[in-house]
Amino acid sequence: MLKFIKLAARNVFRNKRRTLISLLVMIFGACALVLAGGYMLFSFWGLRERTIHLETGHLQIYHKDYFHREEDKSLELGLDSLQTIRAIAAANREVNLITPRIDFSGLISNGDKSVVFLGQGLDPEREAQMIDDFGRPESIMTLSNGTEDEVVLGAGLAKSLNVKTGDYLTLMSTTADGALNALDILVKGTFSTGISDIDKRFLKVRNETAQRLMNTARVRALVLLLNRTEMTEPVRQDLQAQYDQAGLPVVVKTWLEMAPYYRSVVGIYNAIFGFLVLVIFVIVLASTANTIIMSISERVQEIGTLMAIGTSRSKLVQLFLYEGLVLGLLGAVIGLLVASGLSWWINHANIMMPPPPGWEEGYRLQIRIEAWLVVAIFMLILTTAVISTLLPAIRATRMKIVDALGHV
Amino acid sequence: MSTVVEFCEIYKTYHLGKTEVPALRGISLAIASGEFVAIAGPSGSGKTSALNLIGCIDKPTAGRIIFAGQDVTEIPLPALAAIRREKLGFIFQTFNLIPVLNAYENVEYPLLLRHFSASERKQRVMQALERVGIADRAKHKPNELSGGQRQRVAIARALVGDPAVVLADEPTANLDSVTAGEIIALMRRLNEEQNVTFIFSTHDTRITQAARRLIHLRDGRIAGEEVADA
Repeated sequence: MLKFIKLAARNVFRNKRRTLISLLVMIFGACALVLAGGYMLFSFWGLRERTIHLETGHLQIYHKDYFHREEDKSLELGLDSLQTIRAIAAANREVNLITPRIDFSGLISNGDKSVVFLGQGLDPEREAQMIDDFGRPESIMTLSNGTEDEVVLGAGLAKSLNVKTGDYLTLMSTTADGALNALDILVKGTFSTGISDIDKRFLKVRNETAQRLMNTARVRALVLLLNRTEMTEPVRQDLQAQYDQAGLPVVVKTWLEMAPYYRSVVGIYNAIFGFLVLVIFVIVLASTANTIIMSISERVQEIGTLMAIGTSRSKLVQLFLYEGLVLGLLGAVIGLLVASGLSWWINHANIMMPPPPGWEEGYRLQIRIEAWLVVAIFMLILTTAVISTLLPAIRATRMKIVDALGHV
Repeated sequence: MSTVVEFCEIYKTYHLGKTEVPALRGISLAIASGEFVAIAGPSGSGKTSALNLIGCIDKPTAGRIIFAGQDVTEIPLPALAAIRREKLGFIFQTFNLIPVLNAYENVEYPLLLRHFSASERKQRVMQALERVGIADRAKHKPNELSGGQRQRVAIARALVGDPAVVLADEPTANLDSVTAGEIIALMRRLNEEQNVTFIFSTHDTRITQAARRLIHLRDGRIAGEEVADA
């Protein structure tokens, strides 16, 4: 077999210029796929970690019926037995941080005007720890742990109510018993989510304030931050099993289940990348097929000779497939090396990208190369090169030997 | 001597568009093992068609061909590759060596198809190259060899697998007269010393004079036959 591969390799380099063009096409294809794929993986990673650190955590623990039925009263399906639930989660080595959250709604008034709001109760110190380097928790950190009830408002909501830091507002909502309750609340600042419709309705308070307003000790959910994202599913399974065993009516959800935006972004990116793969596949296929067809058309008499001296059709097809294999192997290896070099350069060139919607600042362009991506691109180029050889090779073997021998 | 090739009422007709062109019109002949046979005739007489049929690279329109005791008429062309590989050697007018392989590798190629071991390949290839007097050019590519040297390599390639028959289509047509004479003498020597069966198609009077048996073709029929005295 080695001798036949050697023969194929020599045939590949018979016409160096043509082979070089084919190799350049493959190198271009490998670079395009590595850079696009690597940027996509970086974007997925960035969006995933931002989603986890700024919104969902890795895991969220809810009352088991929360996603199946509507509540008749506020926090009716909130979490009780917080200490037990916390203790079980905290015992898991992968759990880095646990923070409770409450969601609630009602009316907010400046005395003259009342506006519907969506509120979130949180623990500012723990949320700040969870945000880590992925955002700026300044606005929630203004919520002090003092005696007064305080609020930070979405920028649009503050504008709508015409208030500034230091002003007082009144929050109204229903309690867990179904009664109406109101709290005077001090405005400590504003924040922006980047989406103006949310900013017009959204506010954040400390959990204690939300609980006082709703007259309950319950929370909506416990949010867990893990040490490693890849441990999300194993930890979920472990915790769920323990909660079930303890008879606690809770359900553990992963960040992916709670992040429809991330899923849709991944879907769109995958579709775009799939289209790019298709385009590269066609380009490499056409280029390699052209090289092999040209090579065959120049070697008709030689093919006739090979068949005359006893080379079977299948052996001849094999010989041409080896040529495709050698070409593909060279193209894939050189292409991936060049792509790796380009990626390294981009990663060290400090190229800043403009901020995406909802982000406060731009980010440094990075190409994230993962082993599976490299293997997939390698296999794609290799397979494409071999496939493109198949049809011309089969056609070549269908030539009549006497016609091929007479070909000049 | 046993019969190695037998033609029984062989017809071969080519189709050029809607026109039928008869190349062979009912030829019958038998060639024995160890013969040195030349098939001669003017262009279009059918000698190349006859050689193609003996070489199992074409099929007759009608008639039967027995090759090495086997009726090859009914065997489909792709399946004839095994017979060509194991029982036939080919020498072409234009040498038809593989340009990317050196002389050694060109001669070795048919043995690779037959899965000979590396040591046996080496032994057979060097022996074949020595028999044709070109062992010292073993590492040379075809474009580094003269016409005569190339044809010697082609002869070595044809002989290396110990075929039942070596077919040569105008083997001296592309050689100068001195080299052609050397090649004819070489083939004749191989025939006499090693009993290799040679069948030629040729215009070359030097080959026809060297042949033990000369078959004249004209218009697809055997026009005459001469056998040299022993």
